[in-house]
Amino acid sequence: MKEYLKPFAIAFVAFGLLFLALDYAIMKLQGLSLIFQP
Amino acid sequence: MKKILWLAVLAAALLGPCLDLPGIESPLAVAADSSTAAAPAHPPAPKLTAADYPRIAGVNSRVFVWLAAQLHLWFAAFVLAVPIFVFIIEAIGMATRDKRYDELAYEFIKVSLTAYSFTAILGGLLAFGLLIFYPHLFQYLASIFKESMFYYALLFFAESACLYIYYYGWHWLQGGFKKWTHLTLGLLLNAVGTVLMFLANAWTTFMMSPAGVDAQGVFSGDAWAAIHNFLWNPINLHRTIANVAYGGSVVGAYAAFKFLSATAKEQRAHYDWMGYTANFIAIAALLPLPFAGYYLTAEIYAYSQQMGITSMGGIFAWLFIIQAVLIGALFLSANYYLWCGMGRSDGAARYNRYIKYLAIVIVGAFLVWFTPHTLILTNAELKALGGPYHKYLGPLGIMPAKNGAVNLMIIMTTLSFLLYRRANKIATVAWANTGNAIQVALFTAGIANILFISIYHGYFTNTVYKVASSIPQVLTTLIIIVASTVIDFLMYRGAKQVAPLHWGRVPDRAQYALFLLAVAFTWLMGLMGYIRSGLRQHWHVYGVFRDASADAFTPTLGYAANVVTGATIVFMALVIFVFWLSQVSGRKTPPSGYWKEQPA
Repeated sequence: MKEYLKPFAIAFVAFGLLFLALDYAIMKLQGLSLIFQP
Repeated sequence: MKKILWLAVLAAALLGPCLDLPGIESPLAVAADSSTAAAPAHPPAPKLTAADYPRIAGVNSRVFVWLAAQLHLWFAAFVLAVPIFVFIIEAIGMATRDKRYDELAYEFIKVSLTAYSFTAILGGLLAFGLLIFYPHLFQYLASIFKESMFYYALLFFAESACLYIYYYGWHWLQGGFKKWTHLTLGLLLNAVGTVLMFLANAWTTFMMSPAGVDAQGVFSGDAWAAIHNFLWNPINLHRTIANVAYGGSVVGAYAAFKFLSATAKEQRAHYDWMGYTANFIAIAALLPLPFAGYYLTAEIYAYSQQMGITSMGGIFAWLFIIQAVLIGALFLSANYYLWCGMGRSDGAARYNRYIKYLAIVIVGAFLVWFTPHTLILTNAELKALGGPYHKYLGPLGIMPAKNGAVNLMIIMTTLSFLLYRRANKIATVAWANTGNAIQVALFTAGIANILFISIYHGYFTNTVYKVASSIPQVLTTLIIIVASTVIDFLMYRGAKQVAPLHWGRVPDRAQYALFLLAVAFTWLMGLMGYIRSGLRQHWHVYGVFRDASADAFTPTLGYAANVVTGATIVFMALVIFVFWLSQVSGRKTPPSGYWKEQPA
């Protein structure tokens, strides 16, 4: 189990950040922010 | 290649008016003449009355043209799509030097040959229908698109020549340079077919989003502007992808038909492999299709908000619920076929336990996907419910929930593919465990991101955020599909096989999933085609050329569904006829005693 856990944790954080960066960039390109600003 | 095609279309549209062909009037020449005569170069769109539409007793002109157009489009989609994947399969066969691919490609193109005749016949029927019942509309469109219509007709010669040499020369053009020549013919066939479709799309989309004309329908003379109208490219993209998915599904049905009627074990194995390949093609094209559909719909909204609201929030909204049910049926049947197909592998038992979880997520997403926002209720039911929205179903009826659901369905289908792909393999690379962990992390993080966007942006922001956030959702799904496939490819390169795959070891019920796929695709295309066309409402050319015929009203959804269902049944009957023809062409009856003996 250990041999899965470490790469999973690292990859999960990496992909999570990648997807958040993607969300941020796409929303920014449309003149919006990731967090809603009324 | 696409650039060349674009250039070809551009050149045809731009050079067309400059060519001085006998009998063909150049718009430039017309403009020059008219300047001296002080008359408009092109007349405005005619203002018709019901008397201007010829009738034939006992024939409903709208239904006749509708059926002819729909049947023509189904066959055209099929015959345009099959050469695309035949070309790819032939190229794979050449790269791997595996003759089975070549034989498979040949069998695919053989099925499409008879369908090609049907396409031409139905195209002729449609043209005659338009000329007889809608002569003023046809004349108006022909006056704007005369060049493209002329070259369209000429391109049919090129299409037919390419197709016939490609098919009849298959066994002649084998090996070395000859095989490359054959593959090039396949490429040409696809290039001509694609240009044909793009030209026909221009006429259709011009009727929805006219360009190159003023408010009265007076044509400016710019043929390229009329072709390159607002919805042309969205339709081009959507139809190209959809045609591949559709062609795959119809050929899959053919393979299922042959599988079920086969008696020899080898035949069952062959048609099982053919069915799997066709299903793979259909699903590979189905996965990006919802995104192309969203792009098209977004462009329809951008062109005309009224048209967009009519489609998804107005009279056609309930057809989208039927669409959702059919798309869900497509995903379910495609996944079910894959799960059944895992029985071909002795190593699939390792993954069988995961299938139930995939099924639960897909069915759950399917239920959300087709949940309506509002229900058709009686007053008593409204009172009992406390309003038009059910307290649980209401939130699931809006687009953010559906965006999340469809992305989950696509991701789970990708996962089904990955499980199927690795069912018979054992990875030998040292980093296999790490690779698995990375893939699980990719899916988990991606799904979490989709749920975050669906829930946060969908329910806690305004409409602008809701619409804008659908793009990162789509990109997340695409990243998951591409990245997981690349990791899987690298991880299983040089992998060991558990045992040889048992082609043919698949239950008969899996074949019915392939039939369902083809029927659902056909019905779906018909219903969505009705919406696309119906969006023009009482206009022949939206906002420019009014429909004054007795049928210038939007039929009820029930009536439209009946017409499309009838057309689907006719199409399926014709397809079965095509399948039967391909079967009898291979049969030989020894005519003992019929022919007189020839002296040696």
